[in-house]
Amino acid sequence: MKHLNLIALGGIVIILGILFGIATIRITSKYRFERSAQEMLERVTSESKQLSLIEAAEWVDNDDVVFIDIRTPKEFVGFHIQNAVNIPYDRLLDDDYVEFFNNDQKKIIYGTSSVGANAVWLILTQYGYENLFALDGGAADWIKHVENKDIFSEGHKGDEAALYDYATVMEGEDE
Amino acid sequence: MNTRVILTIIFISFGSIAAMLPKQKISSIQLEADDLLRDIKLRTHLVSTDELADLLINHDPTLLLIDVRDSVEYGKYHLPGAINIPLKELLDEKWLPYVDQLSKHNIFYSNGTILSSEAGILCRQLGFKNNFVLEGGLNAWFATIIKPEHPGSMATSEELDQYARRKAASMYFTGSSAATDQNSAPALPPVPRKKKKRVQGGCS
Repeated sequence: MKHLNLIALGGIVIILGILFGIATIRITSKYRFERSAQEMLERVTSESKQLSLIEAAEWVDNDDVVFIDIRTPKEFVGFHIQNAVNIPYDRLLDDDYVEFFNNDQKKIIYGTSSVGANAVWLILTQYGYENLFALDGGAADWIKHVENKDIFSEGHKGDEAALYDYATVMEGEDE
Repeated sequence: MNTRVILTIIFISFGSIAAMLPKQKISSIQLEADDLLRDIKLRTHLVSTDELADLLINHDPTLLLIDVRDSVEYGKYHLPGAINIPLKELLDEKWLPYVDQLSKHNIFYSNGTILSSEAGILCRQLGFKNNFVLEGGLNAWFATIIKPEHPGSMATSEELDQYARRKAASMYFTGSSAATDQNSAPALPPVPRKKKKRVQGGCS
């Protein structure tokens, strides 16, 4: 009888323990942000973390700088900026790269377009990594303007540059 | 008898520990780095210019366009019915009823996609629902809807269909843009999401 009671007691304690574990699992999640959204908002509106193609091109042969290609391995094999490393989106937070992201090198993130690179910049910086920059232009822009030395002839416009005089276009269309 | 006392002590101790755990918000769970990276890869937060044109033409009552550029740029030109929340002020108290709510579908836009997606990501991370981003921004809006280009003689029937729809949309927006701008009443603030009152008491 006494034994039965002890077994029941043990069972209850174990069940409670498991319930507890489930209830607290999100609190101890591994990928929590280091910085608040408010802090990041101040950073995105005050800091210049975007590098134009011209600015970034100057850093290609520099050992203190590394380019991070966030596209798929297949795209990376097709073309990548020289000496770039390939870390696709879903592997950026892997344990293998923690040390890499914490070293002193300046890191320039690029992808298919400015938007992906910028989003990854925002998330990784909020996650706590420093010394990150985002390329304002994608791999295709790089080929066109840097590999083919087209920088000064046309000039690559950043993602947020207005490509039209919006108000004038609308007035013109009215007539 | 003895067992009951032990059992009671165990329940009470677990209960008191549970009561002291940090409170978790159930309505707006903050997203973490891995969640956000996955969202961005899946591009679920993006709305195309064609989708936006449909929403505007159908006068979707749940649509709220939010221009995140500064007030000068907004003053020069903005999409019909859009309100202006400069990115800098996004998390200010006065804009919370607009960005943290459940009754409207917000679409952030800027000239390109960088400023608007920053607004979208930060809101998403805070657990705010119903916030989307116009893919390509005003540049894409003008390139595809206001001044659509003919896809050329090699175009598939789908491309020609899309062109016809864009051309019609273009006439709609350029023909009546001045009128809609003046007549449309300023957007009213949506009903703020009711925050559940937290349980009072405990060990504070």
